[in-house]
Amino acid sequence: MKRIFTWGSFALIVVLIVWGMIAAANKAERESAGVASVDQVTATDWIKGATSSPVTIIEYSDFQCPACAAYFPLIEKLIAENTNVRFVYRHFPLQQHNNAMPASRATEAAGNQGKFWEMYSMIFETQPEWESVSDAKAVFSGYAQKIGLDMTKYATDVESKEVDEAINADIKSGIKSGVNSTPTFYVNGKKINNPREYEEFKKIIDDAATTAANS
Amino acid sequence: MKNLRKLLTTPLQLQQIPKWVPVVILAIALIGFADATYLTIEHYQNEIPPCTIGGCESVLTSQYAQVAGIPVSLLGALNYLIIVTLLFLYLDTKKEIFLRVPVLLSVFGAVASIGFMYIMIFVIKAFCPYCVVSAATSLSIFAVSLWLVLKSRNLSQQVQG
Repeated sequence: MKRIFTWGSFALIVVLIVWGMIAAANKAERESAGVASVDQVTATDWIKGATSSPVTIIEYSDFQCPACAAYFPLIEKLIAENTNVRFVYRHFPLQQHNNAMPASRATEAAGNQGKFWEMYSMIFETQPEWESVSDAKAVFSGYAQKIGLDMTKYATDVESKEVDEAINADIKSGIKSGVNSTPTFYVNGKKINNPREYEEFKKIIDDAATTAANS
Repeated sequence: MKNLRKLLTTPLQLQQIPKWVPVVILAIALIGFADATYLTIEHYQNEIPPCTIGGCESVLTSQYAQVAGIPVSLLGALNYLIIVTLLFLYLDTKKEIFLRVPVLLSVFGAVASIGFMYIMIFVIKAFCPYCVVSAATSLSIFAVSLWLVLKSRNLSQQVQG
């Protein structure tokens, strides 16, 4: 009788805990429903290109990743030469890149003064210059000055909690969508294999535009 | 080191152990099990648990959060589940071995916890409350176990002496 009681409570406790934790996890998931998804552009996203275009590219990227910097001119060309596409940049700074987070912060702080994309370009273009410096923050402050930001505001913003939260929201949405490397591109909500060259990327965009037009 | 081994391989003096001790270890292990299970479920749902303080993202997505593709939280959950199961076996059969194995396991738990806390504080430099809870339960189990071993050893020396 005692044995039945002992093992009955064992089973009950373990089942209750697992069940309770699944319930808690599901509750957390519902609460995080506000996390941006890969098929939706949100009001807080950084968008470049025509606002009402049939094709949306969302990139999860890390300013310190060499491949991300390699895609930078390609993306610029895509936006410049194609009117059917808009581009969304989301932060996904990787742990092993010490200067990626400060870079993201710098762009967000510049974004507060309407110069996100200026800082974005500057940081990608100069990646080799700051990727291994110990004080990347100072380098980015220099860039902030160069693009004509209000430096008092920049200094406050770059360390602010809001900037932190904006970046973390991007990271969260990336994790939720299963992003595990950078750059990861989504075209109209679908993850694509990273194209090796411009023409390949353009074809993906054009195909997506055709599909969007036919649906 | 030799002393430590002796300490751990000497059978515990069951008759001297207060009845509440295994129950306390069991209760702490259940807290640890709940915590680690939660993190494991979140991991497989590609979710990051809500953290009002700290940087759960940085910790739970870092390269240290997995060992050979297995999330550390899953290893933790299994560790706690084994401890819980053995303690129930002990409560059922009162066989000394079912208490001594969790005591031994608690050493690994404590070492792993200290290691992960070190990585969290000094390498990742972020704070993950869920991970701290797990470290606290592991270290508490170790502390109670250590007390148990020392007490039992003193008693056995008294008996022998």
